Amino acid sequence: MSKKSIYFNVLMKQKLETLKEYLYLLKQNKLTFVALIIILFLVIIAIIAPIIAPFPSHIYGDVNPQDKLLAPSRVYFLGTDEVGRDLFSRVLYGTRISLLGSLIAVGIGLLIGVPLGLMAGFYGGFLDEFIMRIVDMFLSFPPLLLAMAIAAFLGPSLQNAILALIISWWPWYTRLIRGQVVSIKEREFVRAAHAIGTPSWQIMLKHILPNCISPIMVQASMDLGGIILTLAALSFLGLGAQAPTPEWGLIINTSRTYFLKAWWYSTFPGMAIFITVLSFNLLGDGLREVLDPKTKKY
Amino acid sequence: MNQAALAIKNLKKYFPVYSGFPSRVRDWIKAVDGVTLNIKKGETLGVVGESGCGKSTLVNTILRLEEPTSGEVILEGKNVFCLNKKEMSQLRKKIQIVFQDPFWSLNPRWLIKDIVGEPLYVHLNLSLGELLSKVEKLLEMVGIPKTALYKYPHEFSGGERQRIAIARTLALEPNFVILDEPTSSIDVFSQTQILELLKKLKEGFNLTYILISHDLSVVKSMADKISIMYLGKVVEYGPAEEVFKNPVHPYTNALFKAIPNAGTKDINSIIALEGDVPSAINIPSGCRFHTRCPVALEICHKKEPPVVKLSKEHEAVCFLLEKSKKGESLL
Amino acid sequence: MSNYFEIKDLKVSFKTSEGVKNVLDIDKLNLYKGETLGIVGESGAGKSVLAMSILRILPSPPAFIESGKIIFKDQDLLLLKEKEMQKIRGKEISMIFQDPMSTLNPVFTVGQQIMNVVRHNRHFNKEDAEKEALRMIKLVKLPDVKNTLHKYPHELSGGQRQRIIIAIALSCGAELLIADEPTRNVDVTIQAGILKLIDELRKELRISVLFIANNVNLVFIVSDKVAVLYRGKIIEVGTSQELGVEPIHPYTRRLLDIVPPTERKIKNLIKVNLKEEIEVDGSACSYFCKCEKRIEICKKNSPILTKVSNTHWVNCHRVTVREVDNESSSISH
Repeated sequence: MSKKSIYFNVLMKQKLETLKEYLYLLKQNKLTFVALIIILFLVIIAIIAPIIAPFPSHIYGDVNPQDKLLAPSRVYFLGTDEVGRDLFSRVLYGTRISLLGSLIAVGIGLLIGVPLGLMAGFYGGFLDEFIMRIVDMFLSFPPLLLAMAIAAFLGPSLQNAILALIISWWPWYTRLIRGQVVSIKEREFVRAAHAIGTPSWQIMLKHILPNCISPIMVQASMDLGGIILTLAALSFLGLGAQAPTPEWGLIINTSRTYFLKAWWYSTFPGMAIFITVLSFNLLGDGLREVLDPKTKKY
Repeated sequence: MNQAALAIKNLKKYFPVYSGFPSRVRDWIKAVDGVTLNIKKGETLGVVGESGCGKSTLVNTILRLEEPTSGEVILEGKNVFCLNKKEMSQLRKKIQIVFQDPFWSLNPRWLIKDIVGEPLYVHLNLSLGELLSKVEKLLEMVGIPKTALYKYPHEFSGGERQRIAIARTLALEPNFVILDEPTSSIDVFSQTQILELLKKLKEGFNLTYILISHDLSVVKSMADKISIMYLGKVVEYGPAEEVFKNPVHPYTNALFKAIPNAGTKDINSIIALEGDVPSAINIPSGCRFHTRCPVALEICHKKEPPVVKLSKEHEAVCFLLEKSKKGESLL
Repeated sequence: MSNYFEIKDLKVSFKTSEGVKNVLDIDKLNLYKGETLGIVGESGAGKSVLAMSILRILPSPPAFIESGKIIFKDQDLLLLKEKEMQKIRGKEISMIFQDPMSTLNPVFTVGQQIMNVVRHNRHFNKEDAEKEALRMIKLVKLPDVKNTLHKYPHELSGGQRQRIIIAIALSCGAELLIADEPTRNVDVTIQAGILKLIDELRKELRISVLFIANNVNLVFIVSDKVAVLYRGKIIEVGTSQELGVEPIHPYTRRLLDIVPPTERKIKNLIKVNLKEEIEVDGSACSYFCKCEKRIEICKKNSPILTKVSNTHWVNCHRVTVREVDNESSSISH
């Protein structure tokens, strides 16, 4: 066998081993495991929502006024809203919106925040000062207020709400990673890489980043939940998704008027938010436990 | 006569201390304060000193991991500090370093093959197969089996990790290797192994070593020449055997006597120096050792002592020696 | 007093993800009043575990004491309740650690730190506590006593801090001082001063010292008696005279011979490495893999501490088997 094929074989085996190890560790913590299952479940729902929804047309468009505000039944599992739309179908589809929205927000937030934090920590000096002062500015606003202001400025819509969240969230990652980078760059293996002549960008990407990714992963997984909540809050306040989008926060907003008459209307989307956010929080906690003792080994 | 392969000329590295708002430079930490050393090809220079003497800064500056405040380092005819980025990158192939901590000097998240292969990857354009072969050969040279390629640093003991670090150091076939306390953090079994390995490699590849250590037995077994540093300056320099037998500078003498070795069984035979090492910001006037020197003279407070040659290659920086023409130790 | 301080059959283990790991297994170790007992071993040998077990400050979820007795002044420390143990810590048995910077609280002056300890444990009032603090600072031979009282830890050098730690440790009249690698982080020229201080204080205050270090020469010049620890087991114990002149266990010999390494010993070393691959199970002698003097029986069972003289004990089959080793002179039994 050529050296190359040996190399790939061993590498694949190793990656599998690491994956097995991670899963084993995650399984140890029962709550985290349950959270993981729930999230997987939610992801599947998000993907197949339009297919399994009993009344797909109710998701966006069709109104059905004769069936308005019906209690949960065998036809309408979670009841209907004030224009007769099936709540179950809408809440199901809302999963897709929330998960996708938070994934985009966190993803792009990381793409902006992490490189900036890496550079600020690594180069120090003026660049560090400059970036961190901007981060400080952003972080002095309560995130929800900041998101609200931006969303109001850009005009209320789901996309603008997500944009507002990206802008409010990236500084957290920068600050988080910069602190890590500052301490890791003093480590001897970084000095060794300098002494070898490795270019700075390689040092940042291949040496420093892998060693400070854990807190970012923990924070990001908890943020996935946090962003869903904030997105719902924005929509609740009218600054995010607009009717007829079946976003959970928006549904709860419209349900306010019918709160006493139709308990199901606000309860089920609320529960959906609760379960989703809780699962992400538990996952984040579990990840922290998994990743920390591992780094203790090093 | 061998030309100096590595010449350090009056090297100074000061670190600024900022204070006040707006930050102004208030003071300087004179970590390296005028060091001149000449190392011949194939020699091992031992650098001995306690914490704060400047040996780490010296090493960092020679490797240009820090820019000097003044002075020159001439490596094979070229001044290290006058090179541009490209030339510097080429020069890095010639001078490498083995660090003290075998644990943190290897990236804990990298495979051994990547760690040892990194210099090859950065500087040479090898195919994957060629790179792996070379890495295997390097590991073989230091006595690590091929199976290590796909393992992580934490799977190895301290001594093994240090050997992997040495393999990495040799990847680009350097001429000079700086050994920064190579055996301080490993167990007693591995220490002799590592020293023996370093000796073998030196002979095999005609390497020149700069060995930094606070462990005199290690320096004794490896160094040809030895320089003693105190507060950023070299206070004594000479052939290792001569200096060990006949340390002339009061600090060298105190240092040797303070370390308990196999001969001393009695606590009264070790000598404690009065006072503490002064800070590198407020270097004492005159001879920087005068505040702790048991035989300091009046003049030592006022003027900096000259370099006194005791033999062709043995010299020390002390007024006492100037007085005695023969250069015998007055201690 | 024969039972001033004695450790018997002490077994300490750690619960790890890979099962229970035994880190300390001491048959017998004793310390007489006014004596300095040195414990030498490399990192991982179990020295700090031993020190922490005596004061019962082991991190208790992973670590636990399986069995054994630690007898101090006729009392078994392991049987005492936590409240009673608190009366022992600092007041009868005190400990100093290797890193003075992290042992001292950075936000209090060193004077305040000594005073706090004295006021809390000996119920002094403020003035008396201050006088006592001054007295302790003088005792550890720090110059400029009055000014030092008001200094913060970061304003002192490493050596000075370590002296303050010693002052705090001895401020409540402790009889037994455990020094866990006290000069590890201190420069060589300062180290000499600290060692001398500990020795002088031992004579002045008539205390006993348990001195732990990984530098064998250091331990020898400070101690009356030396015990060598290897992987949790005491493999040899004797007076520093006995061990210095005629060490018996191959590991002790290696520790002492390693400085300086000579040609002959290096060849021995390389030969042993090739043998390292032999598989052994838990019943073999713990030093089997690295031992150049091993014989058949060493693979099969673990030796016990055997008496060589009244003060000299060795944990090695070769002594039990009564083979006269060519390289060392007669072993008396």
